[in-house]
Amino acid sequence: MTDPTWLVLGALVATTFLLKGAGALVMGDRALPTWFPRFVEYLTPALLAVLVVTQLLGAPDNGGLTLDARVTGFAAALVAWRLRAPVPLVILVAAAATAAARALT
Amino acid sequence: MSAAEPARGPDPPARGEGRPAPHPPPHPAAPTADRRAAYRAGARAALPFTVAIFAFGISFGVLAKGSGFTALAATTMSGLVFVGSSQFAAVSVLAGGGGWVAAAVAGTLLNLRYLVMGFAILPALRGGRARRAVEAQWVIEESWAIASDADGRFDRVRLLSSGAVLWLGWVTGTLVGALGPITAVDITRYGLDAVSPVLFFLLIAPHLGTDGRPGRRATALAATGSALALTAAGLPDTAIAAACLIALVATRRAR
Repeated sequence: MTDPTWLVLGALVATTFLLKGAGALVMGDRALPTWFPRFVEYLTPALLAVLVVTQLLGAPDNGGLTLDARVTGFAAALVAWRLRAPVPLVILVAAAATAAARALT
Repeated sequence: MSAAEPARGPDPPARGEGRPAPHPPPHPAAPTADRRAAYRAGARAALPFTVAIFAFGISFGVLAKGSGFTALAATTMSGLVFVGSSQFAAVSVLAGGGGWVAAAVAGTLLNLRYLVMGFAILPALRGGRARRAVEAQWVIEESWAIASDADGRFDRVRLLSSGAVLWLGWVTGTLVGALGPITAVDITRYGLDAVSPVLFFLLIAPHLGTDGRPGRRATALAATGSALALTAAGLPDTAIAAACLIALVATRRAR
């Protein structure tokens, strides 16, 4: 009797550990190539930009670009951010505007 | 916000106020007061993310329960895998009738991005191979972003403190979802699904200042454009790989 849930769990734990730890396990004490920090400097904003797009406009079933109430919330948060509101307030504005836009449509 | 935000509180850092120094001292040698400030900065930056992650943890717990996971299995998975998107993918495949291999492969594919992030953060970690591999387990998108400095380096202390706060939120959320009477958390009703894109946007801002390497804004814009195109094409998971390519091109040009 093999319970598939524990098999998935074990396999996913193993691959996640290896992927996250690959840098340390493979590189050991060797230094990274000199171009690598420069690459990361470009990579970080690029990856974050991707995350903004996919979380703001992505659909759960990969069904293309979705313009919904999240966009309203994001726009409201941008305004709050430009007005130099503190981070928790910006977040609150985003959630409230999204919920309001959803309730009204 | 993480890097640009000067640490406040009873232990002000040695550097001046306002803009962070262009080249902070190497992190492992940082004085204790600086480190304590970094612990607090990481934990504080993680809090708003944790609210969202806790709610997502509840929905993961509910989904896992519905897919035949015991509360122990669901919570163990969250504690050891600690990647929401990957866990959701794996459990969804299983719930949809797929086998355990297909479920594990789906979850693993979504984890490929941690290969890049793990390599990127490596110089900031401490100890031998094993210890650094374990420290790298605290990396998720949020903690990685919170730990990143505008100069391309990473702060180990901010990684550990933000990672721990996020982990607690994710694991307790899963437990509540798997045990509790809640059948579904209405994330959309409270607009919580707009929180993470806004937070990721706030995390980009310090990376786009004029004091860093030229071309970072253009790189972020190109990544935005390709992510839009790939999401429209129904391939949002490939956008990360495309962003890696764009960053590689920018790196070669900057030489």
